[in-house]
Amino acid sequence: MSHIERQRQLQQEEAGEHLFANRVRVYPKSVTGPVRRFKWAVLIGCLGLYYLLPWLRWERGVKQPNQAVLLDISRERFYFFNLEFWPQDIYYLTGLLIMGAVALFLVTSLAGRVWCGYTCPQTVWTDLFMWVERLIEGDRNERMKRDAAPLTLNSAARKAAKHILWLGIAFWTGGAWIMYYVDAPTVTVQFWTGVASTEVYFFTFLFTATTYLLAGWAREQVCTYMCPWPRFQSAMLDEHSLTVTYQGWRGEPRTRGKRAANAVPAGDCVDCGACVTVCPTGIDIRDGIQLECINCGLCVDACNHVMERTGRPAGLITWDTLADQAAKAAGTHTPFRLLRARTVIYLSALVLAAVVMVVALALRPGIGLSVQHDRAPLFVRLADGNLRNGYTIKIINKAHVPVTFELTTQGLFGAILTEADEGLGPAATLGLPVKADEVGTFRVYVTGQPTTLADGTQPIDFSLRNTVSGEQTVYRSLFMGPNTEGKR
Amino acid sequence: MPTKIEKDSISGHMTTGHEWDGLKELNQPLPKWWVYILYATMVWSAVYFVLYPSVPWFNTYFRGVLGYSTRDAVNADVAAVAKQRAVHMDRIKAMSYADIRKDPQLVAIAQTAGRIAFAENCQPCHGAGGGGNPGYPALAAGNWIWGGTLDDIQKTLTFGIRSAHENARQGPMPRFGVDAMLKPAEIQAVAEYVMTLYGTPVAGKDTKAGAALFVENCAVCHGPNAEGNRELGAPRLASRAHLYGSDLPSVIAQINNPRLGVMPAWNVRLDEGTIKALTLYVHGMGGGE
Repeated sequence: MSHIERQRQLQQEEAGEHLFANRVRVYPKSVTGPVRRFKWAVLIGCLGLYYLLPWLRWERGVKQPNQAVLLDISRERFYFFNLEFWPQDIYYLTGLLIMGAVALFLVTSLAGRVWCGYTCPQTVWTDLFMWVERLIEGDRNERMKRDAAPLTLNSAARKAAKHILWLGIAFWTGGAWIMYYVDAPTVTVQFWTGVASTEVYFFTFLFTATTYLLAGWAREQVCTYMCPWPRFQSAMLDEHSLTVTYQGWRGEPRTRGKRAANAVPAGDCVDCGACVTVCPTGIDIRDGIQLECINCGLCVDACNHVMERTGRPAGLITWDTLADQAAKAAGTHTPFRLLRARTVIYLSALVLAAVVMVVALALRPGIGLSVQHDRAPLFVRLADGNLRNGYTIKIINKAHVPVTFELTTQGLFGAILTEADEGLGPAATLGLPVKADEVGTFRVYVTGQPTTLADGTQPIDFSLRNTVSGEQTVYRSLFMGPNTEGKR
Repeated sequence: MPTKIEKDSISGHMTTGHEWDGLKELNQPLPKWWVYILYATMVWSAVYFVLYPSVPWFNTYFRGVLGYSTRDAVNADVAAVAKQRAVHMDRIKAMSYADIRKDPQLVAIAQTAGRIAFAENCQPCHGAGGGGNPGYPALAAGNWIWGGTLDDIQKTLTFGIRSAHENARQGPMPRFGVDAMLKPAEIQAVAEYVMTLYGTPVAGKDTKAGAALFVENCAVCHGPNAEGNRELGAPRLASRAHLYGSDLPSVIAQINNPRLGVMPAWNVRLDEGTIKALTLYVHGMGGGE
């Protein structure tokens, strides 16, 4: 086949396909029912927590922030109620992320994408924005009619009002984000008096813009095209996971209107399309499990209303497993299996991570010492023949009061310590003052005559004692000298 | 490149032709907004191309409408920093060491400026951190030949040692062997005596003769107890740390034909503020007095 022939063939075969798809606008219809009520409750809980948590006060003492949750980047501290984290504690964040990921796996393997359907910020804010839209522009049919008709003063005014309200919510969202990083009441005053930092304005407007765009405009496009989670959820789901399911064995064949009464065999589905019109991602749940389904269950509420009105049993669309559906189609029933290899492994990993985290947090030391040997010179020989090594010593004082720390060494006979910058010593024990809530840095010289220097080094232990709390810690370092005595 | 376009039997979409363990990837159409974003990035790059330096042209290049240059930006930054630094360096120059030390910010600036000047000018001979090298004193150890107070260090730095400057540190030592001032056996005896001064005597030797020769020839500069004399740059010999070595051959060589260290006068190369910063830095290396 020649190249040109092949090209023509490809073009012909592609003729039925478009490389780019127009967006199908989704006009979700409002719905009532237990699922919707639960979704409202989760939404109010999540948003309430997000918007109000920064305002919660927590007394910590003088010169300390009194915000319950504060990620103070400029001072490098993270406050969470009674806990205070330093940059050195960053691995707790790793633990938290591991727990978050495994918890997500566990929940998904049990009950499908409930994260997507109820608690994902994209879902929550989209839901809120849709509520605003409905409030101003009316429900599905009204909105579709207005959008199809030419723009009038009325519809333009409604659109403008909607966008203004959206922007207002987005701004509140962006502003609340900033309040997790700087003291909420302070930054609020600073923001409106124009004296807040450039970063505050930048990030407020950045998150205002992203909230407005993602929840107002992008909506289900984020879930379908941008988010990786729908793509790999299939690895966590199996035939025993609960998902929002259309019970095809009961619903098919679909019959509508007058035919329904006479049709034989007749399924319970009346093909009213209620499940499709309420779907926030605009899909048909009757097509089975699909990438776009966020498992919110609004179609369950919608269908149950119809089933009730038509005198059929509720639950044509419900939460069920693929295994149970297959069994029901065959006239039997498979009970839901809570304990499966998958869920047990996820649960064990979650419990393990949680235990490690709690134990690590409980045993977290309140004292911190780091000793760094000078790189150059490694050592110097003094006129009296002694060797001297220089070290940079960093001491963490997590207390909110100034503390003097006692520094001594073990392992080097007759070691004498001198602190250069503060002019402390020479002495066998140094008292090093560290300011409240700070890291003290000291230049310490250790002078001594090592008995053995096997390969030019010998171990030396620095012991640190908090003179207030009595807490102690030891840091092992090296004392260095010439490789062969007398060569230098 | 697939040889034939396949259609998926269930969805009706064409596949990409890629297959993994029997799973075939569908070639789904991209959303329109995605392709618009791609176009937007193209427009952005075209605008960027016009505004910023872009097209190379033999030994020059198109500078862009805005005329931006990273080199100019760096030069402007350097000039700004130099201006900013000058304020502090002038203060360091004008103030006494005692006053500088009262201002922690100024001390930090002096330490940084001194550290950089040391790395650029002093490190090749004196070693990183002032650890010294054979023949070049370990500044961190405090075995000063010309004095280790701030004023001593500043003077040494400014005028140098045995440099061409008229105020340079000058300290002669006679060439006892080469100029036949002492016989080889006498030099040997003095050297053996000197070694007893820092606790490494040569076994089985009587050092009385050497001691007598020391008093006669050496003590005038190095002192009767070999404690040295900083006015003359005569090192303390009763020390375990020697510039030119502590073993017998090294000591004999130094008496026979002395090596005399030279350091340039830095006032021709560094300004006074930098020399004072350097003085503070060297003094703070661990050997300052």
